[in-house]
Amino acid sequence: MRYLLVVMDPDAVIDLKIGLLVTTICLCVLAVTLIMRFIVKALTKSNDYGDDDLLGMRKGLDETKNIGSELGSDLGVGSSNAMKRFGCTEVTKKLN
Amino acid sequence: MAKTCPGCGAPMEYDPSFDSLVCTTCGNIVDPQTLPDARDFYNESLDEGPVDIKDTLSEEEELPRELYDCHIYRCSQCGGEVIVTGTEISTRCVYCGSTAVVFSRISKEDRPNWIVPFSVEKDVAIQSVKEKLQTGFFVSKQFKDVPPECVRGIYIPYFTYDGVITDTQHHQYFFADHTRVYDGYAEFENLLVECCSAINDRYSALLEPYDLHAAVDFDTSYLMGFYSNVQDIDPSKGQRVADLKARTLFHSMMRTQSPKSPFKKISSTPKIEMHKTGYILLPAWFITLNPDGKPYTFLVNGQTGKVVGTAPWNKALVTVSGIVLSASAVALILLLYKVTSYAILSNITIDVAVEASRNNLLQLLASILTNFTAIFLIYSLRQVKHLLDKLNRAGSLVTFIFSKKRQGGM
Repeated sequence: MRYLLVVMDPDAVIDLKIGLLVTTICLCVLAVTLIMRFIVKALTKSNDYGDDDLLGMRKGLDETKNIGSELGSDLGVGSSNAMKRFGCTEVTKKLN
Repeated sequence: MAKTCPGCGAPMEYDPSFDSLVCTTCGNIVDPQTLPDARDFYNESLDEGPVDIKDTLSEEEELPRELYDCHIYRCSQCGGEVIVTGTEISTRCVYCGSTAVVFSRISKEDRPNWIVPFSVEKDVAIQSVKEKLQTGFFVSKQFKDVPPECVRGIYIPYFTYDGVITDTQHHQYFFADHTRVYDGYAEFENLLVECCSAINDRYSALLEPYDLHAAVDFDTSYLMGFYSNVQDIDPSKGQRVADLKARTLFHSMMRTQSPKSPFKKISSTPKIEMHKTGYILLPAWFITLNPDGKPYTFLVNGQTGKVVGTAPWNKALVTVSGIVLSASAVALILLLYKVTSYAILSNITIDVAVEASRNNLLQLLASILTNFTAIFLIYSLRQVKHLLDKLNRAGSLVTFIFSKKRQGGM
């Protein structure tokens, strides 16, 4: 068997090495990002008071970008008790 | 306007612990609704007690526009205006902490329909903020021990809105060939829109919720010993904010009705009918800390005691934590890289490597990982920015600038 470690053919291993390097760099960036998020969460818990996003309004911003807004979620974050009645029905089949 | 003690004639202040006016000199306790000059302001029976807003809001349109006298002070540094009642004289701007506060004018302002009196006392509000700061691991040490430089009880003006929103939404999934369609509706009651330009709406919104069942008919007696803001937002702007809040709340509920997916896209054309039903004053404590020359203001809901604000963090602690954790993680990954690459080179034959190269498998893997990393990084940086924005809002001067921007942005 011609193992790469023995042969070390530059043409054969160059893609593999580049792939491993890119993967490693990405993993490093991911790790640093994860740590950054962890610290932001810890800071939010420790230093940020009163921002209780009970309805998860900010989480849905990406999927409702065309109809929601960051300002709307910031302003409405404490007003969930103003919604007295809510109803929703799936009508997919009826339309189809 | 100022209420005086029927016993000794000295000025009286509203005390939340007694829910009454208390004489600052002789300690006499008087129900605000029984004072003769308070009674003059009433249009309705004094026997009614707390008002059920739900029952009376629909009659708001029939109420005549009433005015009442206010002593307005203006900050020459930031331009903020506050109403000062009774015999108290404003010595410091509640927004920027500046002492350059001068009497501006006596003005006739729109009389609110209702008011929720303070039920959280000043000391309790201060203690709540202190407890938060002292238990925060990353809170700057300076903030843990510093006494508040300025504490003000302020009534914030809000418009209330009722309305209905209806919508037919299309929920599309990227990896599915069908679209789910939903019909939804929601009714809103007493949706609050803060109507004072001097306070950042994003900041004051966090003070909610208030229990409006505790609201009573407006009476100037409740303002004794407190500040009150001027309502200076045009109702049409308030209407737009109400529409935006209602729409966002509604969508937050609607998006939970279909299966969760990170690859979901929602489109809709909502019909919103919101209308203003009243004008109410809601209580909040503004507590300013100034340990290093830059004031930071925390807000406390004067009814529930909810604390709102962002404290500066201990930069050294955060930096060291970040560097140590990041360095450890990167070192671990590099070690894994060494071990893995040695293992791969030892166990994969050249034929497999050539085949993998030909099929671009590694490039594909690296590309997916790179894109995922980039998206994750951008999303995380947004969270960092969000937190920094909130910290900036706590800085009073910046808070005021934000409020000015909001005027142009809405």
